Amino acid sequence: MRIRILIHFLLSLCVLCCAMPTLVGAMGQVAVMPVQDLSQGEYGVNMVMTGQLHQRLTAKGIDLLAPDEMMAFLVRNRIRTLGEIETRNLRKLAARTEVTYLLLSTITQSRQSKDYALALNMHLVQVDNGTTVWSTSIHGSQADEKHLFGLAEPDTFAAVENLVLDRLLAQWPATLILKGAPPSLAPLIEVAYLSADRLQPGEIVSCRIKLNELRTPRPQTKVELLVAGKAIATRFRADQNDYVSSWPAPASDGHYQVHLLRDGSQSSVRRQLIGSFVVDSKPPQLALQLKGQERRGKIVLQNKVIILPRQQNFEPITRWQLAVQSDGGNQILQAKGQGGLPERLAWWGQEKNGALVEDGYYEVVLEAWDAAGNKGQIANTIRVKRSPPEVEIALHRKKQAVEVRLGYDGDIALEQWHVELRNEYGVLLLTEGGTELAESQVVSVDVPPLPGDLHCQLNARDVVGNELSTSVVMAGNAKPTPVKGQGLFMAQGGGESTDLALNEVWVEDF
Amino acid sequence: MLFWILLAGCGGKDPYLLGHHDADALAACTIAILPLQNKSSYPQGHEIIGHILFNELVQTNQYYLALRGDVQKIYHQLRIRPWMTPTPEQLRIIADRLGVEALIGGEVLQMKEQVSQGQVTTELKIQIRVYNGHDGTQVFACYHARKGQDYRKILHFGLFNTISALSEKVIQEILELWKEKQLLPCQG
Repeated sequence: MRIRILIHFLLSLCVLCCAMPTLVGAMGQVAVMPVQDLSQGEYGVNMVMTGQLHQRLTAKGIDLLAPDEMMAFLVRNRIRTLGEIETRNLRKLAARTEVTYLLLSTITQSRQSKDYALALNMHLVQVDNGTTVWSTSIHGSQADEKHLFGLAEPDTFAAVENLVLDRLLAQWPATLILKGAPPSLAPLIEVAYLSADRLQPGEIVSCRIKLNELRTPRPQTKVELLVAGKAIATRFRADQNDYVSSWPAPASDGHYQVHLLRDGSQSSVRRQLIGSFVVDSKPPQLALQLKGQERRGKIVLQNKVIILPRQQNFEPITRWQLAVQSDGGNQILQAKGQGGLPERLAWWGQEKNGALVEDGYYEVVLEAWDAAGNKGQIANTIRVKRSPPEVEIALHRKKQAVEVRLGYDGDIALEQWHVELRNEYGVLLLTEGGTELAESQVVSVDVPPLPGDLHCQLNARDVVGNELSTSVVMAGNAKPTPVKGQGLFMAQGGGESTDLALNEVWVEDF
Repeated sequence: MLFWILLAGCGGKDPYLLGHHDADALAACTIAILPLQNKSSYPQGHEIIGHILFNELVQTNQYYLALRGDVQKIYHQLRIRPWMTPTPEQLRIIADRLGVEALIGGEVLQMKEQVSQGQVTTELKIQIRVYNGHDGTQVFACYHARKGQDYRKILHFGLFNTISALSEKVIQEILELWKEKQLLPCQG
């Protein structure tokens, strides 16, 4: 009976010892990490404050790891970011030194101009298990320390610094409780890295697993992966102390989870989700909207064409490329970028070197790749026309009148036309204009038979901004005959041809 | 935008719980703090709040907190950028890998500190989100907005003259509310 009671007592004592934290009378050795300084950016470090901390803590009688040893440890383990020390680093520190705690400090605020302020954030981590056992935030500022008559107010940044350090020492714990971390907190997996998170069917997925050596003795542990209900074997690499595996991605599109199976058991107890990947065989669905004057289903360049690339399905785009190609397939211009599609682009009808492209049809081709490497493509056509509108003009002298015959059968509508007829003294005989011009339109004016020349001026502009300005001179009794196109106008009269004075100008609006 | 305007209207002196009802409590003793997102123009505002939140949770003496470095490492391995919100599946993986029951994330919506004519004005608006580590779902979120002026007693007394002091106070008020409403109890 007594023995049973004794066993119960001892067992209870053991449970209590394991469950309850252990009180340590004196603090063990402390390693001071260089102080992270957020006022100098995310990766800022303040070695001056680190030195002061060292000095103050040493003076207080705290057993500190020598700064050189600490620095050597950081260099040896390639620890460059101060706020991001990992449990793995702590274990190494525990194994190679006598250190019990690591002091991590961060300057969260440092105002070194008028109204000085400093804020320091600190915590002590138990190196054997990564448990944070103590933490504090200390701040001081000139404005906080306003006293009657300004007595003992800190008036320099150094004074505020001293104030903050004094407060830190006042708060420093005389004793610390060594905590036993819950077993779940020590990570079982150090590294679980999948080579891709989106890929095409059949592409190779590789995986690297590194287990926490303290929790899983190697190489006895058998590690397998479970993907889409199939177990995939891993290979242990003794030199790297990790497990690797690779397999082809499933043939059908979908989202696949990757589970880790320890000891090859598929029971849920030893199954751990480590990541997932998406198999995607579908290219991005694209749309390409062009904004400009539309004629017979084609966009016509008017100064510039606005190109609006759009995505019709929701999936991340990793890169895109937009090209303008001539009718013959020659690439005129190219733009490309990483990440999502651009909001809008504009093409001014120019080549790479800034030269204007010739009249004709051009194809705008948009290509975009999703994260799995699938390429989507869409094209749209732009027409470039910079030549002036081909308006025919012919003058006919009748007995008591002169007829101005105009004609236009171009596919780009006229926005405006205007014709004027003057005699040789510049007297206006006829003026006519409008917005639409038929294929054959006649305007006439009664004119007494005059022997002198008649001057006719025609101005026309189409809806894309191309302008025509031409003048025709008809000598007395001469009869001009129009020739379609620009540049040549011939006048014929009484069976004999005579040249007409011709002045034709066209203007582009760019 | 409208949401934030409406929300700002709710911003009283107490933290404001979003989508909370009595069932939304999560028993957790082990916690990991995720990188917060900085939507303010204050440089490193998310880091400041992250550090202070970590410290305040440690000071409750209730929770075990995963090291920031361990969280960062998993973010890196899962290819999650610090400014991205992880998916529920990723949250589940993070919690599972770290062995924690709850994950805390959130955003710094506004952080201001202006010194003019010998006076310091401070302002902070944050939203803290708590996720269930087992399934990666959000359990509750807490919005809190405070100005240093809110704490003025008489003359300059009571004012918060540094953004870090105001941040600490704001976090304390949030944790106080959680404690009062038993939102994140450690029953271990």
